Amino acid sequence: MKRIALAGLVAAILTGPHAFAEAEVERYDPLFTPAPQARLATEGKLVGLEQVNGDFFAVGALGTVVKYHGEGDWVQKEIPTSVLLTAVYAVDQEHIWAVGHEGVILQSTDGGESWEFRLDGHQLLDMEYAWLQEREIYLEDAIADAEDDYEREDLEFRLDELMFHIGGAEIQFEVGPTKPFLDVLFFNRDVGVVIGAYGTILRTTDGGESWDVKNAAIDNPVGYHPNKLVLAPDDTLILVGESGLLARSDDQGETFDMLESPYHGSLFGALFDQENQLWVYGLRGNVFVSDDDGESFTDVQVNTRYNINSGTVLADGRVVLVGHSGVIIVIDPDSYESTLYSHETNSPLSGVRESADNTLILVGRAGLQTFQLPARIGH
Amino acid sequence: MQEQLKTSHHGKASMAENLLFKYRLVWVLIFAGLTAFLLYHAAQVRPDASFRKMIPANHQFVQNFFKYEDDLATMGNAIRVSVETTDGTIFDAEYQELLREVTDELSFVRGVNRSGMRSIWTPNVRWSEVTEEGFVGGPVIPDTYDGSQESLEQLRQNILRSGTVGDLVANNFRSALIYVPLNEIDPETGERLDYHEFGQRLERDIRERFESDTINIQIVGFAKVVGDLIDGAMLVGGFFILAMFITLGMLFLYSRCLRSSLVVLLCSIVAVIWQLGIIKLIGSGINPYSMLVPFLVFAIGVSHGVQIINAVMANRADGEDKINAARLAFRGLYVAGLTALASDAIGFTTLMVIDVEVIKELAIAASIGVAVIVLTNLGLLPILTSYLDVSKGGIEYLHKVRQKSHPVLTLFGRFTQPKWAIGAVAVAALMTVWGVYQSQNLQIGDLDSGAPELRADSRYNLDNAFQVANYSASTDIFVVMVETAPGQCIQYNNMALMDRFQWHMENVPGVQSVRSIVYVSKLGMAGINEGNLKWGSVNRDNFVINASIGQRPSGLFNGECSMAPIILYLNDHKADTLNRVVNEVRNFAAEFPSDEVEFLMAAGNAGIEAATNKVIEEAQFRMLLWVYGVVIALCLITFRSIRTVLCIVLPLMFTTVMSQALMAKLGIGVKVATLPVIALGVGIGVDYGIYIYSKIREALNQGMDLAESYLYALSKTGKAVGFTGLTLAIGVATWMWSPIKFQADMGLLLTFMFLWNMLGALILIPALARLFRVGPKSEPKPLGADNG
Repeated sequence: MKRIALAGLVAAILTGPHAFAEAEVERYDPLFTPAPQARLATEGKLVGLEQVNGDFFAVGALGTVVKYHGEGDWVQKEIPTSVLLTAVYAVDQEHIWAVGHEGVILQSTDGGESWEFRLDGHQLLDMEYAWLQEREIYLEDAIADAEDDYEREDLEFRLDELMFHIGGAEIQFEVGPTKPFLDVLFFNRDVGVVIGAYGTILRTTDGGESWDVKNAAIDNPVGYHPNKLVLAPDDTLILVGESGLLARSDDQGETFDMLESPYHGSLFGALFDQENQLWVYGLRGNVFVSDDDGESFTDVQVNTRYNINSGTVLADGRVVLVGHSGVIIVIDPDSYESTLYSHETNSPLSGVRESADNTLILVGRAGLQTFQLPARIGH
Repeated sequence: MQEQLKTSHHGKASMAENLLFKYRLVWVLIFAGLTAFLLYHAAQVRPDASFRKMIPANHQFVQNFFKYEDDLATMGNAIRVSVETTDGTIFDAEYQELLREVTDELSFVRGVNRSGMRSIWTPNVRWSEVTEEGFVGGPVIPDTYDGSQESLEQLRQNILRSGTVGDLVANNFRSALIYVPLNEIDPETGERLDYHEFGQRLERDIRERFESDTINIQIVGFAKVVGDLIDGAMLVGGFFILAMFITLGMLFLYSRCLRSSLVVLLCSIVAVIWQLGIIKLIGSGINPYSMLVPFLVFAIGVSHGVQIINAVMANRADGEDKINAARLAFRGLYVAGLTALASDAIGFTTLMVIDVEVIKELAIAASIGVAVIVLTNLGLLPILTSYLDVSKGGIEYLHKVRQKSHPVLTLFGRFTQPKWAIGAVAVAALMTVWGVYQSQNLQIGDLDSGAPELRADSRYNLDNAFQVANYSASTDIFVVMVETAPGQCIQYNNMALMDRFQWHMENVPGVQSVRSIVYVSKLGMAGINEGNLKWGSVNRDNFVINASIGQRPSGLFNGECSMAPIILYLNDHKADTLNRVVNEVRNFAAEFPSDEVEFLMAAGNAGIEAATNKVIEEAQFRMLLWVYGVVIALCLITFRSIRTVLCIVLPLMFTTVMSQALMAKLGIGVKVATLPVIALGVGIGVDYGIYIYSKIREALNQGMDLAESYLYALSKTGKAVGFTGLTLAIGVATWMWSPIKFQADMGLLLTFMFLWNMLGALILIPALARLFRVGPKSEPKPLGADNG
């Protein structure tokens, strides 16, 4: 009897108070329910797309991860969660990361065959709460050490903001993990950055064993959503987001510098083309290009007012952007002249890669699609 | 007593006979009085097409639907009016003016829920867009609209960004649609919507007024179907007159006696009047299904009347006076007649195993009708002929006919010969094998698209096909009601489970798309996050869920938030599709058992159809067992011989198999309309067998052999049986022209069964009797079994 009681106690300690709460009412929790295997997995909503060794990984609604070999040949992977997955990133052919809603970070170390949790939203809540408390102590110390009134006032304002966030975080424990991650990028197997709603930035230097909260690394007191991470060939990291959020990191995401944004509306994505030009794009057909790593931008006219959500660079050097209502924009990187196409589904697109010969692989609300582009003239 | 010697096989006068003929005048007066009384009530019978009565009210699906009927009403009962231009596109000033007028006119039609109406001309249809500053938007029709080219271009822009293409504007921009929700009960007067008046108003004030060479108007919706059904039912009422005149003509051709033809007709009409009057008195109604009953009662009445007239004429030709002729006719036929009618009536009551109100009404109406025939055509008719007599011409015609061998005798008489008997039975056996093979393809339920109640080429179904082709919505709707505790319908875990359920169902073959509050919430989440797809998920924070459904359409959860419908749009409503959907809903519920969420089936036309199919499927076998059980029992009681029962029942089974094969061949499914037909076919079909066999036995008892006995039976009733088959067939054949598809199906099948049963009886009964060695050589004559 004693042993059983002890075992129960150990189990209770290990699983935490949730175990008892769940025993009362059986409730469906998508966070820890494996993703449904579906006949139409490629036709549901897919939002993230990555190319790995000639295959494509598409992620999306209800924990769907599909490996697409081309020509309609695909296989759905077993995933331990059913939340909406928002982004997928391959470090190399074996190491692939995916992030999603409710603080989900997943990793595959076998080229996308099997996937496991590296973080969930409950852990994220704990981490963020601990970080907020650290920040509180840090700011209180800083206020005490402030050299002048101006600095003190600024720090006090920050502390007020922080206390507001701490209050919010306490409520969050009641509600549960609500925060979606929106993008993931790894510099190598160990060092990577994950960004999410309301200014969340996580960084790992040990391949996801532990995570640092880096929300304060960018100047984002309102908590705008960082939407997209993109890497320059020289390892420079660019972050874009809501309300023109634009930042650059030269030390693999340890610290960021804010850049002057060409646009006060939301930026949904960015990419570097073959000539090392930085393209950023977002709400209502806004596209900007920079040839000096984001120091200055040129406004590019693309003749659409639809949101532009994602982009890629073709093998022939052209830049392709895709967006709402099935718009596909092909831009010449030299002349900035653009051609507008529309996918027959007319439904929003949120990911694009080139497979071969100007064939686009697309993901969006209508699932995985293809689109054949005409070849680049003069190439 | 001399006549009793001469016609000894008629036996003694029974008590019923004495009672009837001793007080002839009293009976005539009683009948006249009752007929006047019941006519008064019959005249008040009106066809009604109540939706509730056409569905299996006790099935769990339907019970669930009734529970939430009011909550679902705002979503369900609506019509969709599309205005098509065959000349150019909708971006035309004249067209837009017309569309505005149609929208206005519709809003004035009684029963229309004006505030819920949606068209590009109603102010609630708006476009919206996310900008740097937030949402901007406005009505689809620009405030500055003046019909100019610029404002039409602005309209085109607004339509494109309003998301109404495929919803209120056709994918090809050649038509636009007006969505018109209806109030089942008028909020001001509290009156129920009169579907008949509503349907007529649509035809008159919308279709007739606005249609032209270049404008077509399509109207689709449940209310329109019901309106068309009632119109069709009224038309079918007219068929009755037609059937009556054809029957009169046939009666005269058969008897060459106008007087007795009219008497038979009169008695049969009296039977119909009584039947309708009694139905009204017991508070039952007449519906598009039970409308068949007056036709059947009339035809059965005529067929039994003919037997009486036939006998009266024969007796008169044999020299009896008119009273004795009538008495003897009664004496000779009332047992066979009663047996036949009893088997009809009991056969009809077996329809009660089908738990659908319209069929129960049909069963009750038909049973009453047949009971009434016992009185009118076995009682009133002999009395009337005892007064009115038959005409000389008729008797002379009978004499003339008697002299030459009647073709019926020569044609069917040979089937007692072993060669012919074996041949006939062998052919029937082969056909049965073929029939059984064919009937494997027999489907449960309705197979046609659109409104299966109406014909595939009816205006309604053409309209429906037009809207299905040009707009992105299926008309086959299966609604799963997600039940939660009050206030919990949009709670996160429940919404997440509904989300998973929705995806599960979207993956089921035959499911086109799924809509629910979850769908709206996910779109809304993306919407309040600048349209970003990465946000399009159910959020764990219920405040965020509330924000995401701020602009929801009505009807996606009920007032106390304890039920949220999940609407599955299906490719079709074939039984396979419905079974698959039902099974997958059950599989999901079993895989994710929840204390807080129940997935209740089913509403929507396809949901109700799934329930109906289940009821039909279960009733199908039981009903056959019952109807054959009853017929076999009655035949056993009457004839007390297994062989006799086999002789009578096997041809009926042959017909049942063949009619099922016919249904499979013609693509007619087993459904509420066609299942009763089998029972009716058997119940009425057995009459032939009973009449023929009772005469065969009469002759056998007198010592004739089988061949002689059959010739005797043919000479006594063969003509009448042939006539009966034709009368019954004609009575229901007019239904084949009904604009209502299921009535046409019923007419076709019944006509087939009546004719086939007649042939089966005339050919297979003697053939089987030969094979079973019925006759003096093998069967000792039963002694004392006397009353024919």
